[in-house]
Amino acid sequence: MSDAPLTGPHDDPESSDAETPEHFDLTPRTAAATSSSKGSGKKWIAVAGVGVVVVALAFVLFNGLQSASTFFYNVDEAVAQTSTLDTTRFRMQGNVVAGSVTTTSDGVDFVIKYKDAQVPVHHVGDPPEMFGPKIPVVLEGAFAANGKKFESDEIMVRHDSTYDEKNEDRVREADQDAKQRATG
Amino acid sequence: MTTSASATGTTSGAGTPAPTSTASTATRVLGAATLVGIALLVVFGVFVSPPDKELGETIRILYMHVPTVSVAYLAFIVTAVGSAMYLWKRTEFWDLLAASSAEIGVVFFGLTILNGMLWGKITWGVFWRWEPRLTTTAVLFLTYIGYLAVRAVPASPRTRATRCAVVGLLAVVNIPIVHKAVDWWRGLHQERTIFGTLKPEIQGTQAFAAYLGLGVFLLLFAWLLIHRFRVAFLAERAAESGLEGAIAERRQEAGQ
Repeated sequence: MSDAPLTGPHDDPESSDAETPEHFDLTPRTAAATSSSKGSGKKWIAVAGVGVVVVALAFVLFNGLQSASTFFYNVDEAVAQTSTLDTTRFRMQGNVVAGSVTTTSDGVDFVIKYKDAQVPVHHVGDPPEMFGPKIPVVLEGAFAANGKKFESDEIMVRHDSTYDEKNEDRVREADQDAKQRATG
Repeated sequence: MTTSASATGTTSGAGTPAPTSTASTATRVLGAATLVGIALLVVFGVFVSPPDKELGETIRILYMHVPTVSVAYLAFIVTAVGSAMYLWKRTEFWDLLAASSAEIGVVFFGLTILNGMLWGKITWGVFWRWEPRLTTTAVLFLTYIGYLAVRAVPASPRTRATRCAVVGLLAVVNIPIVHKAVDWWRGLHQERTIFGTLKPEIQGTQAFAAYLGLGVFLLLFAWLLIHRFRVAFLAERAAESGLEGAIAERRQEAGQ
């Protein structure tokens, strides 16, 4: 096998194109013929596309695994771990206690409750539209004053899988979560 | 096979004129039924059904959200079946069916993510959080974009079909994980309302609109799949005739 470059009129499409450039654009080429001469470029773009997808998948899995394992603690669990959590950021779920909501200059104050545990919350920023008494919420923030208060900067309202029912039923969802934790 | 190639590739390999449309009587009937269904869904979803006690008007987004995600799941399952059948039978039909279905699935899954994010912003207060359902959803979406990317890597039809069949079979494993994510882990997303529950917690015209949406989107999926499959089939024939043309052309050049 010789490694010498091909110089004659072979049926290698690239060499024949190079030697007869005047023929190149005159005859109509079909998609398949064009792709055979530009095949390697298209292939690299496609392979790079697959690479980008793989990198994106890795990014999503990394992000997801970091926060999805324990997306939130319920109030009672968070209170039980006050010393370990200290001032680190985490998410806490509970129901807004009726009658505890007061608007402040920079946001809203309320009490969040789950089972027997409750924690006063100072939230900075506008609460979402559906925020209100008895609504189950997930807060993002950290404990302050040795776990006696929770400083929140993001309120997310949870909605359950029931539609057109009353608020009282929503405690059920919180109970389901507790069961999940007990079995998982 | 010495058929001369036409520049536009509209003749088939056998020299008989290829169909100029992907429509047939059946698809026209199906398309008309889908259009009527969409009109009905708009009437029931937007005007007739009452707003939800808690969600208000945003429940109407869910009349799109559940159907789009259901069609996407179905499309990916069809891709998996097509992939398995391809590996067994090695026929073009199963490969093209798998690919056509995956493409439609990606479109509907993208729509699901978009309308879900809109709903999430209004209800939860955030567009996105890396919570279990949303994270697994992102993984599923990227996996099928990966399937389409693998399909775009130039290769012989047989190699491409085999690669895609393997990806199509592996990717479908994620669907039950996405579906059960709301039960297995804690997150922001609500639990299932319709699938996998014996007593759906939605009644009256709300339930009617939800099930109507499912039916209409299934019709839409069938209609799109038939057309997409036929387009894929014609594209294969065009590529073949293009290849034959290129070979004939090169032979001519070499003979000069």
